[in-house]
Amino acid sequence: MTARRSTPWSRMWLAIGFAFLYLPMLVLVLYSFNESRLVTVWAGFSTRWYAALWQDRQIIDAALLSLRIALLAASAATLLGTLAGIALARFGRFPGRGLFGAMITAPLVMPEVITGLSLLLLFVSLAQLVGWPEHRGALTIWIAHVTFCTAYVTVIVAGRLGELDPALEEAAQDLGATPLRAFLSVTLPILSPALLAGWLLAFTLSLDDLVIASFVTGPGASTLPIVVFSSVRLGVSPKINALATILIVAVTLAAVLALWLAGRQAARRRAGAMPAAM
Amino acid sequence: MNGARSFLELRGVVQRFGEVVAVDHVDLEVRRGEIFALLGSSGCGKTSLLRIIAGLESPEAGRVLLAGRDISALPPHRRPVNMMFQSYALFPHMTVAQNVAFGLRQDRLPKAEIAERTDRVLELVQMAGLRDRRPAQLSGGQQQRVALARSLAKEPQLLLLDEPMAALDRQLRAEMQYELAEIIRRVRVTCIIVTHDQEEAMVMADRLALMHAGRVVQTGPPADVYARPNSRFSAAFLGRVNLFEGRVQAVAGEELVLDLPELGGPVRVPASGAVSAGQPVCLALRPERLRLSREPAAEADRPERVVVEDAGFLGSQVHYHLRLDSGRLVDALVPGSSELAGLEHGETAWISWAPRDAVLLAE
Amino acid sequence: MTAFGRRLRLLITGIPFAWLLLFFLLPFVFVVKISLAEAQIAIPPYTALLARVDGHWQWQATLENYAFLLSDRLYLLAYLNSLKIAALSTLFCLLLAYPLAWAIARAPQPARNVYLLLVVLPSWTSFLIRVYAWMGILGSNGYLNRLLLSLGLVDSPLPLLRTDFAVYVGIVYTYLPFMVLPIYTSLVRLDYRLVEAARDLGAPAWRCFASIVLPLSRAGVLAGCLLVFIPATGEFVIPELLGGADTLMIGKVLWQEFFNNRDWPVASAVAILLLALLLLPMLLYYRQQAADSAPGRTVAGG
Repeated sequence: MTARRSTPWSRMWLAIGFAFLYLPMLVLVLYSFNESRLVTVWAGFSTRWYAALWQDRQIIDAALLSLRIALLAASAATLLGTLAGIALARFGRFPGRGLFGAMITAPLVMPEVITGLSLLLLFVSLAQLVGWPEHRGALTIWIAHVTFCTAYVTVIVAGRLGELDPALEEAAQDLGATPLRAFLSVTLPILSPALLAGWLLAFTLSLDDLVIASFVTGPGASTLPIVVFSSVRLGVSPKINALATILIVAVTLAAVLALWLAGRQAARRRAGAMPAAM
Repeated sequence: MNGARSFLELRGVVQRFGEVVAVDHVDLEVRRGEIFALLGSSGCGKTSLLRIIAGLESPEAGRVLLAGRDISALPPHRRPVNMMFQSYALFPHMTVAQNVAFGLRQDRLPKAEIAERTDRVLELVQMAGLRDRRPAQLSGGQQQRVALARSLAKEPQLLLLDEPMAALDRQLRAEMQYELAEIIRRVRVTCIIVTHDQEEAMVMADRLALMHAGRVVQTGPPADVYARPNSRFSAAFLGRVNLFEGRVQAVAGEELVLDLPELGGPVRVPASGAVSAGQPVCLALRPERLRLSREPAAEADRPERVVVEDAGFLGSQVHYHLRLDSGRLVDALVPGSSELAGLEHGETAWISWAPRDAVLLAE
Repeated sequence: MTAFGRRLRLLITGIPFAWLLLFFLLPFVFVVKISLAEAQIAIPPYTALLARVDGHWQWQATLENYAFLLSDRLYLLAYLNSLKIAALSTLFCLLLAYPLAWAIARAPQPARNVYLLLVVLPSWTSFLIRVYAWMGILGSNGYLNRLLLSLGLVDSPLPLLRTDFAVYVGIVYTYLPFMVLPIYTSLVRLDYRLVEAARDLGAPAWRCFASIVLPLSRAGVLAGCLLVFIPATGEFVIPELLGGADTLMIGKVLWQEFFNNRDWPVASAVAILLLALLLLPMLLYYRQQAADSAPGRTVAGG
């Protein structure tokens, strides 16, 4: 591979790209510490909006509901997505594979309004036909989130499985492991970083969803995005700036942590490595 | 069939992938304790055959017998056969010791025994010092040793090596051929090696089977197959050869008289097998078996005049391209130390050969 | 394969398959069904397709909703405008993302991984928050207008928020990572020696790009464009928060039919027509993904 290097031109594009991506969020974070009620006019440093946020029962309840749904949805989606990923990457051709593949790919690009509407109509029709689900709320949001998150997890898992040397599982079987044991003791541990990545992605997708949840929710079940949306529809608000800052900081910390863990693992590998010559 | 001595036996094995026949009615016998090579170019079916023996693929037809027992229906994890994979397939999330112990753990042996056998086999491949490394921290040669140790740890009745040298560089390959064969002989395991490299097969194997298009073409000790190829394919695949096409002119008692247009005049060779006058045949002459001289040899040896076309110096040998009067080019090899090593382009010389060095191929 | 192995396979495939059939495919059956019904003031707010009239079962499907959508200029305009806004945003996104992806792919490690993380990071924070950030920037009393005013570049605040312009900015901003990632993936796989060979053979830089780099990254560009275009066509949050009252986008229309007018049959018909419109690009995306991830046919080696 030829040496990679930065040219002035590529540095310029990196600067433009990252300025575009990060300046809006930076401004948001900065003005969350603004004393003034007028969001865009600086009137001195203050943390009063964080205190106000803490007092806001509606937002706190919504955040807790969102977290609960996201935890459960990400876990279920990881389970379903792992199974689906194995089926797609390992089982070759089976009846219905084309349909299966399409149902995995379509949710990735399906406009949310369509997914949301179709699921709501399903729940309403099922309630009429079989009396389930009786109420719409956390349960129906969870089902909706599991459905579209499964597609994302499947893509990640199937991709990682596709890169794996198929000889690994064969070697395990050759050494006396049953196919199931070979999967559990060899493939699954190697797959675990991909599973974690899939879970995290599903978690953030669920936490972030507004449109689908708006369709399938029922009375009393307002997730955080639903509450935030009804607030920002009326215009900018310093309290939302504070909430946004908390979200941004949390995600950044998680990312830095993940990067640090990955870096440490790589460093540990390098430290023990010898020159390739024997 | 030599039932008493054959340890692994394949009978009428057939494997197809779609339209492609990968293994075409193969019968094969491997003897207890020998190193047996399956040699052939890529796509000849040798790896499929190995995977069938390991149980990783089930053949369409045919049976696999190990020590007289039919193991055709056994899944890979129930066969007393272990394989070293071409990619080594070392488990990346386990240490060297854990990789080696993996097979023993599947048998639920006592912890102490697992530890003891792991140590022993790591010692055998000289990897005991690196037992806590991960595969990613090992060089290619070290990975190969671990892979070998892992497949030997269960003391299999049969060891399978799939292109064992493919992942190594040239230098290391030559060294490891001898070392690997030495280790295998020391533990006295019956072993089948799949390789496309004739040198590897000839260095390591006691016997080999030459494969082509899903079939076994010839079986035997490397030296025999080299000296007595049974077909043009065998002759050409194993080493260099000069082939002369022609037909049988007459059968004269113990001798055959051949008419080979590229060689001037009739050629006499010892009679072999059932050939009749008029049959098309082919005469094979190894380049190193050609005798080169500046003056014509005795008339009885039927010398042929040649002109040196070009010469390649290979260090221990000189490789000549020589042009016969008929215009045909032949290869000849002479030792680099010989006084004939210095012939130059355009010089005239003579070649001859001993009748026993000429191999008659009737096809 | 043993009987146990077969049953295990059936289970592994069957569970996610059944879930997706029930909660992804089946819903569309109901959307189609309800799009053929009539709205009524009841719970649920639509008529049954099969009704008992005078002791007979009667089929009451109607194509009236579709006829209504096709005859009303408002809906037609909304569809066309959605396609226009999505297509132009995709183009702007591509123009910004391609050089960025190139710069990242050509950066040395470990900077490359950091850049990559920096591109993805915003998409892990809330989508809603990122759209909201632009409300503060583009408003008539927003940061951008205050900056322009204080610099004396304008005399009165520019109308930026609640315009199509704001919608474009919003879509490009939020969807940029989805464009950068696939392009980056295809560029980082590209063997740079090909470019060097072309330069060595005397090709000018633009020619290298046009005849080597661009064709070899086509798959990434196509995937990125579809990943932006398809969801952007049905986008609701961005036109709702950043667009004006006259910003017609079909996702917004669907939302309003459903939540404001409570006309479920018309909303369903809008959804079906939107889906029909996006079927071709979706099929394209599916084929591209399938080609990209097709398990390499295991060649019988040896």
